[in-house]
Amino acid sequence: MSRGPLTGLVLLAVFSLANALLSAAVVIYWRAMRHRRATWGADGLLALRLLPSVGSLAIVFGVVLPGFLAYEPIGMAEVVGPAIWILALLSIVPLADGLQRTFRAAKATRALLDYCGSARDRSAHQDIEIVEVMDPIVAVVGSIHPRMVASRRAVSECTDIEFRQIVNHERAHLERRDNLRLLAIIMSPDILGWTATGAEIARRWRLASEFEADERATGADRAKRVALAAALIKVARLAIGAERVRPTLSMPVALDDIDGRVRALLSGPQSAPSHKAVGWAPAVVALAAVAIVAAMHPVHRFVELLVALGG
Amino acid sequence: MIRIRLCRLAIAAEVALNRRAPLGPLEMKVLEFVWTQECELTVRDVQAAFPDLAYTTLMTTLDRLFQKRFLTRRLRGRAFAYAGRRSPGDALGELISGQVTDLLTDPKASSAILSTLVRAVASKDVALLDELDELVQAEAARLRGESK
Repeated sequence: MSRGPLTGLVLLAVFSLANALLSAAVVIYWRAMRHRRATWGADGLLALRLLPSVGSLAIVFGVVLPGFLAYEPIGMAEVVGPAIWILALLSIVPLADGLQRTFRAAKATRALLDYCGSARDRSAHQDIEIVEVMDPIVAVVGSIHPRMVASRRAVSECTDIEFRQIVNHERAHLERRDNLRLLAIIMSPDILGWTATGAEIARRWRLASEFEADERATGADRAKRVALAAALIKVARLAIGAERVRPTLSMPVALDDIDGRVRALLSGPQSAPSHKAVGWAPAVVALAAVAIVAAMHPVHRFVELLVALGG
Repeated sequence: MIRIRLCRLAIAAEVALNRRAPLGPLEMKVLEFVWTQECELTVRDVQAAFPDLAYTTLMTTLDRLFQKRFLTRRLRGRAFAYAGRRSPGDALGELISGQVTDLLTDPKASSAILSTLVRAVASKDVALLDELDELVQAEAARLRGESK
């Protein structure tokens, strides 16, 4: 096989292998960390959830491709064994699944925005759109150009200060670009997404992002915290019996979330969860750069073995 | 004029979304007329607005609209009196609301990208909500006391 097609085959095969190994590593790490999971912040959880896909892409384009271009002789045809074909074909499954999930999510979001657009109150105040729907929706919908929507039923239950805190909470989601992060999780082409650990990390990320949006919306202002807690309970009461509503990622019924969030709001400002990884970031980046250069040749040798395996 | 447009929008939406059996051109005209009237109408009343059409044609058309659940009817003397089941605005609002609910509840379409303030809550959790409400009320009372 000539160099061009072989490069594509190698990249897909390594993506598949790295994806599987990193997914397994995350599952093992998550199980080992079971007593310390509560201390994870939204950013840490997101990084862990995206590690297999982002990590495998980084290995493919940061190590394997430069190594291949640097060490693979030009103009030499190579015999390709079945192992690399199998790995390359396997990589198509998570890639296609990620694309399919993204397409479905985009379609469902578009449809929801269209209907909310048709049902909205033209005199909507602030930057939230009041929609005439039965469900007690208060949400940020969309990822690239997200919109805040609230059903009149939910809004009419709240006092002015409570409604302002709802708007602040949803605005915090917008500022944190939580829906864009959610889109990254949905489209993430990895094996981790098919496991219970992947779903659990995503669920915890959503919960952590809700806590952090609550904190960002209210800060240390006790009156605001009480108002948001009251609004949460009112909207939750409206949502009673709506068990069949299961938005993105098959999230389970979330009263535990309400319980924890209300108690957290009443107990005063929460300290931000520790972000140990953030403090180490410059050292990790420097080490990674050195490791990439050092790993290029051994990785290329490994790829050569992989290409010839079974041939 | 606005009311007629709303009627057309409501009809078109219902038909387009297959919530109702499609309406023929005559059925649409008659429904628009009934929706623009404030009172119940007999076939004779409707015929006054459509003098070119036979009484039996209008009787069949109104009956079809009743069968398709666009109209209600009750016996007034020896004839049926028809009225819109809902106002066009209500029909449109209910339809859109139903579509949003469907989008959120349909497992195939439930992957919309959204951050919701509160997700579904089970009926059995009312007691916990009551407990949380008491905590919030107590904290609110404490705040009011401090501010006095």
